[in-house]
Amino acid sequence: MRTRVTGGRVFDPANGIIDQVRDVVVEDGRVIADPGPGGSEEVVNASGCIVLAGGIDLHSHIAGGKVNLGRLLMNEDRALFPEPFGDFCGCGGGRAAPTTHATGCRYSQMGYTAVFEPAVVGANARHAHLEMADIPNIDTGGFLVLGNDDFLLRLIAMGEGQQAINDYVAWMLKATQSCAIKIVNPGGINAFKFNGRNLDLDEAGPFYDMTPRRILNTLQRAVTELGVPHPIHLHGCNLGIPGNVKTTLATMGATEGFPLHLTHIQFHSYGTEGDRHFSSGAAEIAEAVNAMPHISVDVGQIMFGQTVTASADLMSQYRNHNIADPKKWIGMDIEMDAACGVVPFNYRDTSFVNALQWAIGLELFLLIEDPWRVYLTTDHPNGGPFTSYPHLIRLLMDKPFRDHHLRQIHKAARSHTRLESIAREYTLEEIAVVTRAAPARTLGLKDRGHLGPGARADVVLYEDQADREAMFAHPRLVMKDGEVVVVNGEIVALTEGRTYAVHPPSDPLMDKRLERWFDEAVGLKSSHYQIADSEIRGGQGPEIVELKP
Amino acid sequence: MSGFRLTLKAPLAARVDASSLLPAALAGANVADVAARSLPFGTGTALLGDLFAVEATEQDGLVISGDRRLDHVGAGMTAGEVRIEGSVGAAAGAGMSGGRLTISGDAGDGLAAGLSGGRIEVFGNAGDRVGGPQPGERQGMRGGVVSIAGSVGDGLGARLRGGLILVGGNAGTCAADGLLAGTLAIAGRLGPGAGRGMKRGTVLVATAPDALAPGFIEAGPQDFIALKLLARRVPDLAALFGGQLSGRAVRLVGNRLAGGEGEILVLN
Repeated sequence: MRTRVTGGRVFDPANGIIDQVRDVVVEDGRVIADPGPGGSEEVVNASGCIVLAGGIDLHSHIAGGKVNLGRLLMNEDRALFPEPFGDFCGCGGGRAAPTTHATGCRYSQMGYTAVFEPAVVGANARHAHLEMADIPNIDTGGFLVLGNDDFLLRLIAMGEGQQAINDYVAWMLKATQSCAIKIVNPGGINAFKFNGRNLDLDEAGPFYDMTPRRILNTLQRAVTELGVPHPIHLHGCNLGIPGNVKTTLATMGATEGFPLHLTHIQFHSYGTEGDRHFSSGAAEIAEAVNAMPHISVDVGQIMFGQTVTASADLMSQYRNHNIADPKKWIGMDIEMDAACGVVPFNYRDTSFVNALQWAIGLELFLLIEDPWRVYLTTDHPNGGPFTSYPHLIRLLMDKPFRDHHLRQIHKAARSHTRLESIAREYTLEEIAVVTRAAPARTLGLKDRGHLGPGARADVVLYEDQADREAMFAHPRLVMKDGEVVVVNGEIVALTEGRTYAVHPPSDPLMDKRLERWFDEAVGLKSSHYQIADSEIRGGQGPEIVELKP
Repeated sequence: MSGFRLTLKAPLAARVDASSLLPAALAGANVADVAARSLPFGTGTALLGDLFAVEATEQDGLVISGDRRLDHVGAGMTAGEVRIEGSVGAAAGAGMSGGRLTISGDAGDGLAAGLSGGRIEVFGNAGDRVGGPQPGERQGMRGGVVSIAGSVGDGLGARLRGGLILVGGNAGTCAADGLLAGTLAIAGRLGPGAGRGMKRGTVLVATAPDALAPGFIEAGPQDFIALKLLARRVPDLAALFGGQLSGRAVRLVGNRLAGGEGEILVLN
């Protein structure tokens, strides 16, 4: 069946098409080159609409151990935002920690068609994949958390050489069916096991006597040499600590030329100026990002209201547990391999710190010049629920709207931010880049994030309205793989997505070696740890992302 | 203003969430409007008129025929009156902050969870976790009065923060679990494990419990002027205990493992 989306203004920055009225023709789940009129085809009238590829969120905690603990902890969240009863919903719900079903529905209702879980811990990977398989209407993938596990640190400490590390990273990526490597607080979480509370970039950690810089560089090299498309996805040191802008800048300077993605950089852009010893470091960070073409970031914008923070960085979560709102939290160890802290949080515009955090995120969005290297995220649910994206988009596109909100926040925070002096407004093209084209490019997804021939037929029609929040909250139509799943912001069908993974080759000797390691040190057989292709999405198997040459 | 009578046409074939059937929500509607409302029914929805026969009544408030599959009756009510003829399912009166809910039969689990005001009367028995926290909440009932003529299940008054719960019959295991403040009054017997983690507040019980949770210490029989005052000022308590509220009671102080500012008063 062929479908022609006609009369819409197409924004497809990946193919250099900006605001052109043209047809998008879809057949068998793919966009095809326009074969011209004739033949039987269904016509979708897109007049008055902006036509974009499906949205891609490359950093949103939607599956795995942490968010599931968040669901348990934030039970009232589900009661406050229940799913509407109806033919396609009626189960689950929630906003800060939505159920899998609600996650898929709410994302596709905003025109998103792919979302990536940025912190899959190896021991939880099977669980994460089971959850991802349960999320309707969106494609998924997971980033494997490495950088604090004993096997890796041992390899580096014993001077085993880069090849062994590469083999291990490749083995782990395939075993956990992940599509990139995430590092959370390199070496720092391991330090916690030996009573180390804090670890700076060039401070040697306890026991392994290794600096975060060395762990970071080793894994950056591994990912680059293996050809994994997405660079190291780094949650740096000292998250949330005033003055961490120094650490962040040092980290950017420590990449030895390898590409690096810094995630939720808003939480890493704090200075210590002013009488409250908390200030915005956004300008310095943005300047550094502008000057370093190998750095990309996602913002992790905070949005006011109730949410829950879930992180593999137990240390920073432990530090925050006293300001949990509501007052409850979960901190735990996962198989002595990784950590996890879940802390509910209510960001208030009347709080100096929260208000300034909000402003810092927006400053970063507006001061980083190249939209291809900054991605729109709230680090869901850490900075705010993903359902706030339409509001965030309007804040970026509409200066009077932004200024209106700026006038509502804590007075002192207002005088600590230069937000009012920034005139930039995101264009529709830039929104298309930061929410679609750029994430697809960095993840190496060649058939996503654009509308050229061969692309997945994930096509979204937004009615052009002056109120960008209303516009992006209720697309007129969303197609997933050519099938219409949302009409006028309401779910009309549920489809099954796919899961992306990379499978770089590794030396078969690594299999033997890890079998021994699992027998000696892990309470599980290596063969049971590895997730077979047949386990992904109920037997559908992963979609393999091509490696870079 | 007048009310409605909703009579079940047949026993419910699936669970129904009745939390939208509140006097304030139906005020001013006519019979056809009410019958046309949809209710969560099993995994889908059903028209109210398909499940219930709807009549307008002269008297204010709602009269609803009960069913054990009818959940969340009166949940979230702020004012007005709901009377149930028969038994109901789970979470009746949950989160209610005002008004009056009367159930002539039994209530299921989670009765009066998170109640902050109003009055609930049950003439039969109630299930587990009466007056406990709502899912995800850290505190149970904070105010209001719950009166149950029969017995209740386990976990009565868990994390109770305020208000009064009166039980005419017996309580199951672990009553007053983590009780923070407020009052439980039980005319029958307390099951094992009562008072576990209890911080403050008062439990009045007619007869000495067989087995309290560890952490209680007996402070001997005493004469409480406060009890005499309570008997006069709180007719509900006086009615529950009759002549037993003379002022004389054995005081068990606890739970000392959780601060020990609470008490269980044994009246007899």
